[in-house]
Amino acid sequence: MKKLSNEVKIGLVVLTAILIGYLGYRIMKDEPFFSSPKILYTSYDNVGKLIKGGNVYLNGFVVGSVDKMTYMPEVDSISVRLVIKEEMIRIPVGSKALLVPPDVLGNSSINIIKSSNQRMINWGDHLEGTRKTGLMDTFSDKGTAIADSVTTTLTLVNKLLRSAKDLESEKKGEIGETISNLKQTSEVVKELFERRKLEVDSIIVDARHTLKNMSAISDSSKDELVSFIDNLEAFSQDLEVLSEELKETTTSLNSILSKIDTGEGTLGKMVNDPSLYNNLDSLTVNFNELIKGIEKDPRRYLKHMRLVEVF
Amino acid sequence: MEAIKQFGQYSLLLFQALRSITEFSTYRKNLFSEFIKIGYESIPIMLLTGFFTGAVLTLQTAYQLDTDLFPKTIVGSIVAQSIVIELAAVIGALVLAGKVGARISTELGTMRVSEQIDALESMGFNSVTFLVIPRVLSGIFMFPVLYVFAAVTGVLGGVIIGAVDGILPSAEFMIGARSFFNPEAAVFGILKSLVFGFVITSISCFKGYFAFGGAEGVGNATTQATVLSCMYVILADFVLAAILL
Repeated sequence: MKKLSNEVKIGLVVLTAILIGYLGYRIMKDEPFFSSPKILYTSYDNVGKLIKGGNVYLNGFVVGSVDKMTYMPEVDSISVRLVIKEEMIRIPVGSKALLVPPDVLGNSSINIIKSSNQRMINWGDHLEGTRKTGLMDTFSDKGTAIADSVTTTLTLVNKLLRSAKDLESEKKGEIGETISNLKQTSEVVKELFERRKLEVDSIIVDARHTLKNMSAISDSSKDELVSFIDNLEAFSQDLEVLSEELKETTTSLNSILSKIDTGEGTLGKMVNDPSLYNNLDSLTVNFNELIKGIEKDPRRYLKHMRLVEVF
Repeated sequence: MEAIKQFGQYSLLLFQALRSITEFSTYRKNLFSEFIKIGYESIPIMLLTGFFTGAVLTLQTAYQLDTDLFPKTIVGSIVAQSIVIELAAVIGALVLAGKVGARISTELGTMRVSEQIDALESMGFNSVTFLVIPRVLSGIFMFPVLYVFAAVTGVLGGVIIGAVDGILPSAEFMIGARSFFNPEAAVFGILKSLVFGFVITSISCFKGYFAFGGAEGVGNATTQATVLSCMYVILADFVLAAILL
């Protein structure tokens, strides 16, 4: 192979440096290597910590980045130059560039909100810039109210703590006594447990055993239990019907009793009118006398009756 | 007084070189030869320097910022910005001060003590044009080229080590690198390397050109050239940063 001359070597080195420098620059600028970048412009009154290199999203997908920001004194706003690296992106006319405020890590971004227009914008056009209120904005807007609230709360907490301190100094003896009592109680409980440890252990073992048995029974007699529960359900339904019927019967009985009580109807009159009782009583007396008379002197009462007619 | 005398000698040497810079045919052959020695032959060492500078910087930045307070992308931002604006130029220059500066001062010192420079003068050659100009011009021209190699491999080293070591994926590294990338930083880096190229080669030429005292003198000249080159690279870095940033 022919040896390269010094001039060729130098030429190759310089060209390689220029090429990798150019490619590195394009990579760092997030621009396509061999095609001109697609540019869009937008503007905001306040860019809210948006930085060069901030992401540009479309439907949540990164399609480009913020390339340059320039303050325009004549309109008192900031012009933002966006580089779109995605080849196939089509943005409808009337779409908006929504400035998403910094997240908790301080990264702002731009979100392209597509319109429903059928016509597509040309590269180099201007998108209308809008801003979204972020967490930090909300926090700064509500900051005074929150600060006041926090101050009030802290005052209350201080007051509470001071009261607690006063209470502590006043009732120090009582608190100490209470704690001492609690300590004694806990010691008694501890002692009790230690003394009855074997019994407690035994109870636990028994309970475990019982639970195991119950579990075994429920497993083995599952069908019977199900049948029993079904029967119980049916019985409870019958009881319900019976209860309804009893309720109706009671209602009817109440009605009858109230009628009787008010003297309505035959039974009511019989219950409430004492003359019937008196008549019946005198009738009974008379009837007794009649029977006695018949026994005493039957001919007196049967003289007009022939034997044939009697029997 | 000695320092002022040396500065006067240095200024005079540079003035002589500047005055004869138009005599291109005298130093043309030497110029291309120096381009090869300073530029072409230094590419591997600059690639290695750049790559490992980026790699080490990524590891150390990730180690020091191992907290949830910062997003991982910040590692890419710090590494790329540091490499482009500072480290590729400065670390590269310090490495080249050892490689290029030592060679230049040794060559010229040996020529001086073996009276080759005197021989050139006696034959009517302008030794400054013949020996100093090609070396200084090569430094001015080739250091920025070498800087580009070091900067690109430095960022690449950061990306690769970040991904291989599981610090952060390459995409996240590049998001961070892009968010603070400023083309002016690259221009500043190129300007720095150009100045460093001039500082290293001119100091090395001066020390070699005025070497005396045999082999020991050449050794002294080489040592002084290397040490002074490194010191003046750092001083020039400070001055440039103060003026341009």
